[in-house]
Amino acid sequence: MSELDENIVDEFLVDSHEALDRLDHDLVGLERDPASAPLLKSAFRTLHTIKGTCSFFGFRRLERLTHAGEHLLAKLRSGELAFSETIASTLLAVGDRVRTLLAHIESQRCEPQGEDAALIARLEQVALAAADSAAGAAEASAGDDHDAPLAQQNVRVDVRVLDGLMNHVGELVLARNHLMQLVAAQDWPAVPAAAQRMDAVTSRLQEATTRTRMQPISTLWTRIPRLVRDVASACGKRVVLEMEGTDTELDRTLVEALKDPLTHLVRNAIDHGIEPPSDRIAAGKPANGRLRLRAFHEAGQVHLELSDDGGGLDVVRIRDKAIQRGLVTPEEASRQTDVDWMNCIFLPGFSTAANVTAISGRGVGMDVVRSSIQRVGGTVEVNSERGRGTTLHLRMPLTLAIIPALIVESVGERYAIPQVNLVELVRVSAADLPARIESVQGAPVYRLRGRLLPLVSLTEELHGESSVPLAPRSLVVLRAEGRTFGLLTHGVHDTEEIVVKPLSERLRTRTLFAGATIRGDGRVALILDVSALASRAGLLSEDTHRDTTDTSAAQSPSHASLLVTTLAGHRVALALAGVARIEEFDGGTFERVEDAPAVQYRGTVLSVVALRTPSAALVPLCVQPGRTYPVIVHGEGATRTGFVVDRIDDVIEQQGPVSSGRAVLRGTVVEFVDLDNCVVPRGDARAAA
Amino acid sequence: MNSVLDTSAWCTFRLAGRLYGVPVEQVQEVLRPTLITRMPLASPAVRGLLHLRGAIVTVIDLALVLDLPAADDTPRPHIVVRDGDRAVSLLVDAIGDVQRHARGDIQPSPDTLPLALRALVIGAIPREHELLLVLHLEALMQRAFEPQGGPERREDARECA
Repeated sequence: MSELDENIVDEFLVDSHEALDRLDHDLVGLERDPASAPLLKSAFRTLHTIKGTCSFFGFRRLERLTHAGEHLLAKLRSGELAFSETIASTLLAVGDRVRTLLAHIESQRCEPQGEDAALIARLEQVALAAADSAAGAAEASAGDDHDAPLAQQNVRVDVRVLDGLMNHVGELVLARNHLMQLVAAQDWPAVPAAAQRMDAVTSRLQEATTRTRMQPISTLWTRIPRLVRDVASACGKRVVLEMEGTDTELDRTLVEALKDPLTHLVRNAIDHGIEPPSDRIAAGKPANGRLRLRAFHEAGQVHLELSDDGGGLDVVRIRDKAIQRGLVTPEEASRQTDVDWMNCIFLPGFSTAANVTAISGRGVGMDVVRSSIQRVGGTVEVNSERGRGTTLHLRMPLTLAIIPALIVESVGERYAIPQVNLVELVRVSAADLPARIESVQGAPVYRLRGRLLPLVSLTEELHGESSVPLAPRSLVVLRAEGRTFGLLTHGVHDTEEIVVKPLSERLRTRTLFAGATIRGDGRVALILDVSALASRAGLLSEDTHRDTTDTSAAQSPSHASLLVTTLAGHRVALALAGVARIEEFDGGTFERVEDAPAVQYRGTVLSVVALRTPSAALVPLCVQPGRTYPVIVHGEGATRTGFVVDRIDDVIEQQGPVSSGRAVLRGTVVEFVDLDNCVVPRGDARAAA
Repeated sequence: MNSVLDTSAWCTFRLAGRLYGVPVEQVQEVLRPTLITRMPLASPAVRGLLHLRGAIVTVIDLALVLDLPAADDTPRPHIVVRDGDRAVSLLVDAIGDVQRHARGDIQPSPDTLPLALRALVIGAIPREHELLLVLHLEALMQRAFEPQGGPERREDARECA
């Protein structure tokens, strides 16, 4: 084959694999909705396209097979036959055979020898059988048959080109950061304006480039219905699949990285989670098990939840197994909570034995699932309620190349902490801190809002020193693998967008670093691996406090709200998801831009308004110089607004979605405010000012 | 090793008064003293990391690998060498010139060399007043990244910070 042909064949292979996934998806969909004309049409068109291309390349065997499949679909489409489960199985088998043949073409560059006579005969037989029962089958809607020509709006780009582009943008971001630092330090006329324009363009370019690498999670999920069908029928179970948030986008490398873990989790949920129909009925549940996939963006992360309404994890059996296998010492065992035991399923060595898979929870290879998710900077947590079901919660960064991170300091060196692990910053004065640190079984803890927060000293972990001259506001609350802990540092700096660079393989052994980045001043900063930090500090095996989100019921996700006091003195709660950042500004730095109040923020102008309750009137913003005000930054780009408040009170978690209205929280009545509804158009802000 | 025997140009440098050389083919560039970020928990010879045109390069203190007395904190120049498809920067006392020598000039390393070092040296080239020791880069890298030392995990109860 010439190089040109090779390229065309490669493209054909990629296209066909995508098409076959779509075919699976359509066929499984047809099982649920046999009369769906759009699904039938789509399935027919898919197979038809593959057939056409095969005949173009002279792949006769594929052509004959797909032709037979297409023939059957044509009869279904015309209403001659009615769709049935047998037809679905046979057509799915055709798809699988085509995949096998394509795999051979991919490796050997030619069609394998042989015939598919048996499968083709099966297709014909199915058609005959169905014809008998199809008398009077509904006529599939005709007339919408002409395929509208797809607008030529898409260009095929090699992924390597995109990766290269992303690298260059990463370099540009670094150069921009450096430039902005230099500009800030100098007093050059005209330069700041030019630098600011470059800054804005760089940010837009970064955003656009990141977007080229984003894929909706549905590309990953197209395979799931087929998988659920196959696994459920193999296990003799009945499962209804629900998918929510299919258009949630994430980096394509993440899509790749999630493929195997997700397959594994789905398989597990059906095999070990959901009970056989008879057991379910006996337990008073519907015969059909429910498997729910939910994806959403929150706080700059991609969340993926997989929940089933099966039997849940058997904590007692997990405990017995973990102790028996020596994964947990008896001493540790006495301190473990139920959630700790549940997380034992992720321990390597827990799941290798065959008899463990009999546990009515999860089976083989959960440690592999966890490590593959960790490899892409994500976390996974399990939550389960006996008899009610199990939920796995995966969190991942939006993109791998450029991530927001908090910069902290230890012994004069700066380190980056991925924002994905950051829960909150607690302001404690250095003088107060020693007095507020208590000791539980020899481990330092800090009492935070009535809960015990285990503490880890960054300097001690890195350098083995124990005398830590602490800086104020130095308690960084982090979370890894469902554990929350406080990190003591020598200082907390700003958050920055950092470009993640891998460390040399030679340095990866026994380390607390997930990579490195180059900062604005050209220096290298190491990126802390928060999970490794937690486990190195012995945290994951100690009896420590768990975040409240993890003890919530398996099926209802909790939502975090920010509790603030407005300038007018009202208590108000906001959905934390809508808060981009919280900044502080001195009253004296508020200016008037285009006659509306604004502050200089990250090289741009941020328009600000006083946060108010829905019932309160629009009031002018009154601030005093010399006092600092917390400003809640909401939204991106043109609609980005800063809401000035009197103080930030707390972060609270509650069940169910945040709705507008009132609630009693911690003994006071607060009003929920939807920040989206509070964004004031420029004109109004001017009027109010 | 073949690559070393086929070449006849060496990039030389000084460490603790002695003259060393590495094949020029394996040298990427020479750097002036620059800012280094420390890398905790790494092997002792790993001085840290530096930024080189968008790439992150590991810095090795060559004196520590060769068991020479540790230099003081004065800024020192680097020789950046290739280690597979990555670059590694070696801290040295001073950079010398590039010297050409016939391949046959390489002699077995002198017996006075400590045994531990012999594996790191390919041979010696006698010059007017001194010996030019030709280093075996691959062996050097192996030795430099060997984990040893560093603060161990404390098993005992920690004191409150």
